[in-house]
Amino acid sequence: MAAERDIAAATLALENGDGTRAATLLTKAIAVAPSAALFDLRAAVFAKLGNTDAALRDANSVVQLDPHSSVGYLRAARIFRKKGLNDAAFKICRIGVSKIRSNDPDRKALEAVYLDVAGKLGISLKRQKKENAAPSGQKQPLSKPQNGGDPGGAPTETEVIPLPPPLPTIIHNFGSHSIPFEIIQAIFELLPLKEITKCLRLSSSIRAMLSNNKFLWRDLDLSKYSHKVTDTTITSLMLRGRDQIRTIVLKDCSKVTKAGIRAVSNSKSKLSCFEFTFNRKVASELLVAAVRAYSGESIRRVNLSGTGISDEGIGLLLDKCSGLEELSLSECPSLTDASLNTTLRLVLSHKQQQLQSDEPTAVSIPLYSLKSLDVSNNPNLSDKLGGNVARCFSSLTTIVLDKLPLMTNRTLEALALHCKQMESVSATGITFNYIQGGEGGNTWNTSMLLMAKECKNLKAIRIGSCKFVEDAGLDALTALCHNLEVLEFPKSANITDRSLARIGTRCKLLTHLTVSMCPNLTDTGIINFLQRQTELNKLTNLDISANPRITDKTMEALCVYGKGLVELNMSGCGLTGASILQFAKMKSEVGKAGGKKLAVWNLDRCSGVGNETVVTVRGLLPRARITANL
Amino acid sequence: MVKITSSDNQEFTISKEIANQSVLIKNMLEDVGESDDQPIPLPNVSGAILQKVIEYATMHKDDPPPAPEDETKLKTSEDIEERDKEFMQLDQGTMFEIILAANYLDMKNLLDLGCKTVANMIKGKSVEEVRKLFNIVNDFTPEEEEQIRKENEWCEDR
Repeated sequence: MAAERDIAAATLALENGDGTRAATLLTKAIAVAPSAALFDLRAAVFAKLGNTDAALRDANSVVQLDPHSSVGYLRAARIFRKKGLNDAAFKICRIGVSKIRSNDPDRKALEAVYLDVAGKLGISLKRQKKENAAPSGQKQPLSKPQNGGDPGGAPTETEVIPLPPPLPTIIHNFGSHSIPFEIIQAIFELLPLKEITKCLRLSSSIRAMLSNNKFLWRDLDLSKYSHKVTDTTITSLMLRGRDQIRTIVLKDCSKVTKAGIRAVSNSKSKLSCFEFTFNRKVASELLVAAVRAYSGESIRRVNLSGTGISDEGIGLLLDKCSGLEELSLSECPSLTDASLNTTLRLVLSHKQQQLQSDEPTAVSIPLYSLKSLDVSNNPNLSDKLGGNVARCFSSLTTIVLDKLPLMTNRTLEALALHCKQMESVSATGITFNYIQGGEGGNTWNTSMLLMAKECKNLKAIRIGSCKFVEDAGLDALTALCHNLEVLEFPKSANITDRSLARIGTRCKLLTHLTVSMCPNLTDTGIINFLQRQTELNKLTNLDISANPRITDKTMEALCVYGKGLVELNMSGCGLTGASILQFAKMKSEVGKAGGKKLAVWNLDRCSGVGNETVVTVRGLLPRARITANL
Repeated sequence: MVKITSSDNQEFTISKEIANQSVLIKNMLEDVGESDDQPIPLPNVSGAILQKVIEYATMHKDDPPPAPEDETKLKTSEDIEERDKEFMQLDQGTMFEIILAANYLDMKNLLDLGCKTVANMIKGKSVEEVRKLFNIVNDFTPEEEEQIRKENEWCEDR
């Protein structure tokens, strides 16, 4: 470390009587890594050089950095005493003895100085000592009125000594203000990382105060700066937050290599969130070690999408991190169907133990409490993994299975049987026609019926580009699950108007509906849906794009029933001008009246709409993002 | 009613519900009991500041008790009530004195408000602007400054 070299050099210079050089060296070391010890050393050097103001300023920095150690108080008190300012020295000691830890190695030394200056000022300290013997509460700035104090009736002379003031107001530490350390902390805790980092540049004492306060560096979300974050960035942040870091988010930080991830492990923090994505430069073992070593108990969210995490890595990770709630492993090409084999063995033996235990509990407690899993975009994964997921993580509520061409609806059925609390399923791009025993297998309809029967809490289903999505499956789903909020079935050639009417009647909590590119849908279906939604219309997002049979009639219905819409996609619908203007006017008024404002409106490829109309619409809804590539 | 005196010996008589917003005074009242009608001395707060603090406490006397703190929630300085924003339209000296008083009197809401106000003053400003605003003296050598600037480059706007 450069700092250590500087300290050694400074000590040497001091021994050789070259105080000025020692001060310069220490200043350099402080700029790199400020610490209480360095400030104290420099204060001593300044005091020797006769620069009292600078020495006191450094002593103050020591107190700010470590308010519960005697070092800074002792240094300041000695400087004051040397200058004959016994009054000031007395005040410093008084604050010091009330603040420092009872086991401070230099407590005696500080008390000696205290007694000494008190003696010079002619003050007796009996009562003071008694106060210190009691556990020093943080805030007892006021002496209580004397009812039943000392039974002996304390002599009035000792009563004169006031209790220590609650706030050390020694030297200005924040520009022209003196702010107690805990308030500085409270202020900076409110600021984002970027702002705290900016303030490191204000002055050396503020820099020391901020960079040494590890509580200001607990939540490190660096995704906004991903393209600039390097190993050095991470290393220096780890040194500031030390063992107190809770969150590390390194999404798409392509410059980070193994050195940065090692620094994470070395911080010994108990993380609750670790996200490191789309970076193949770091080996699986190192990634796992970063989480496993110290955060096994505390970790709740892990995102390693787009990394080289291996099957073995997953096994090791889950072996330690049983409290994990969210796991994202999208686009991890090293993962295979075997990745949960070890974990499944653990789960099975855990179940076995519960069965064999002398006091069998009524409800078996699952080993894992994983709630959300994303394994999308992994072309190697098949139903074997899907089945293992269902058996390992019965507490799952959210699963993302998009773009898994080898997986089939058999996985959905396994999830339905094991994960009764399932709320959200996304499965665009799995296969829906698995064959059972040579016979025609279960289709989408039977799988959906099973899922709807077993998982009554389903809130969101997203399955797109699937020719097997049919009315019958949707019928089962909407009949049995009463909490549906999100239904997304883009590119479903077989959905008809009948489904839309049913959804309208049954799904009163619906907020999102996507039925884009569903060629069977017509105005009748959408209008029926909208009309039946009236009572408790919660719908905010509607995507009915690429449906040429949806026309102005739907737009007119939206003028009546679409008041709560925030995003509307009608690109490629058979629209003309008039109804669009009417809808824009309605939304403009709703917005003015404090209702939900339209944020996005897509009118691409609506050949019947003229440019003039678009200009007027944009004028009516200036805040909305309206795209209209006609 | 409760009597309190400031460091410059101004006496204020306030209702108990206002006094109780200060945990310090509340605890003292509990300690000394009801009968004691001696004024409570507050030697760390001047009359002028105490006046402002009482004004704040009066404004907030009907507030519901604060929700328990959520450790995991990220703290932010954005959520300030409009009337509180107006209340904090003060010169910097007074503002910091109010913060210190709130800390001393143990009035969490007022302390939070003060900290948020200062945080918002720092937010979005350049280093030089913040120095100027709070009268902070730049004591770095040009070399040190350059070194620190480089170190912080990762989060600067391109």
